[in-house]
Amino acid sequence: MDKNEAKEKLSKYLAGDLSEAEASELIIYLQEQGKDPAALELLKRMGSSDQPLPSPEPSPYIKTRLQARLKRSEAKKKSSLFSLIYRPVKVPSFILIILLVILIALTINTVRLSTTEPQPVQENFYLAEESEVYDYYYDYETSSDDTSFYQAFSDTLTSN
Amino acid sequence: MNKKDLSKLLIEVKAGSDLAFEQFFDHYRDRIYRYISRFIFNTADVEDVLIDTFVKFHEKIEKIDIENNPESYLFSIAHNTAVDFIRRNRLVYSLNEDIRTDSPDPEKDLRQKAGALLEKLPRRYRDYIVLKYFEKYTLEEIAEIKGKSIDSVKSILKRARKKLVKLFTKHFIN
Repeated sequence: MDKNEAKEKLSKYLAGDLSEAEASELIIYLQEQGKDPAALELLKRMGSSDQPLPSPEPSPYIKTRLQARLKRSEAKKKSSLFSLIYRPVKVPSFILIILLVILIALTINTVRLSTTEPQPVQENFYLAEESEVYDYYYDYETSSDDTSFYQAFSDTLTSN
Repeated sequence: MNKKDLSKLLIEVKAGSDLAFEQFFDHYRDRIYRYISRFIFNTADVEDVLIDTFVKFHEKIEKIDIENNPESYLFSIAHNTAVDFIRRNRLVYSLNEDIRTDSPDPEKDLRQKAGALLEKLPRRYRDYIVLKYFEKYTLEEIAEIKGKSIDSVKSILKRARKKLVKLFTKHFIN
């Protein structure tokens, strides 16, 4: 048997398409290559139709361990405050987070608006007509009543 | 346990029956244990992953569709839990590692060799190789576990076999 033939037979061996005689011939050939007896044993087990690979047995305490883990898992669920709120709602958590953020933003905005006093509306003198401003100051400066009062006061001083 | 009995049992588990879950665990314990032991060869680790698998299954029981192949779901959880465990603990096996001739446990060495072989295979084929060549499930059983058609399973196994042949050829013949 040469390498190419061995490769072809290996494929058929794993597909279960070799006769017993051909399978034995292949195994003997591979054994003669002298490489890795454990890997060859593995190949033999894989090619065998009814011999599963060996497997360890679970320990007799595994059920007890599982029961203890389940009890812990249940206790953890009950003590979680978030799960007490979340479980009845059955809404995906990312939607809950978005709603919470919106609620907090609205609350802050409402509080801010309720504590701020309304500002009085300021008159903007710069919008007034320039003549109105001038008239205001002109009238103030040239008020006749004021002039006569100061003139009278001045006359009084000079006569004395 | 046939499909009808399994459905009945899972309905009771959903209702909160601890006894029903114990029966479910007893029925699948050995099969899932053997399945996990193909990926992880330390027995203590295999037990931890087994327990994690059943706890996760129990936690997700309300979401499971009992009519839609729950066995496949259980195997899927077992596989993902085992893969996560291997990744977290960076377990690596070598196909080329020499096995000591005076090894006290040749069966354990053989399992380790099998683990090393699986490491070399693409992830999508590992499950199928384990079920077909290590656990000796029939094509129909594999199709049920994986939730696929028999033709799909045949096709995947054919591709997986090509990879296996390549590995063994490289190891033995080249």
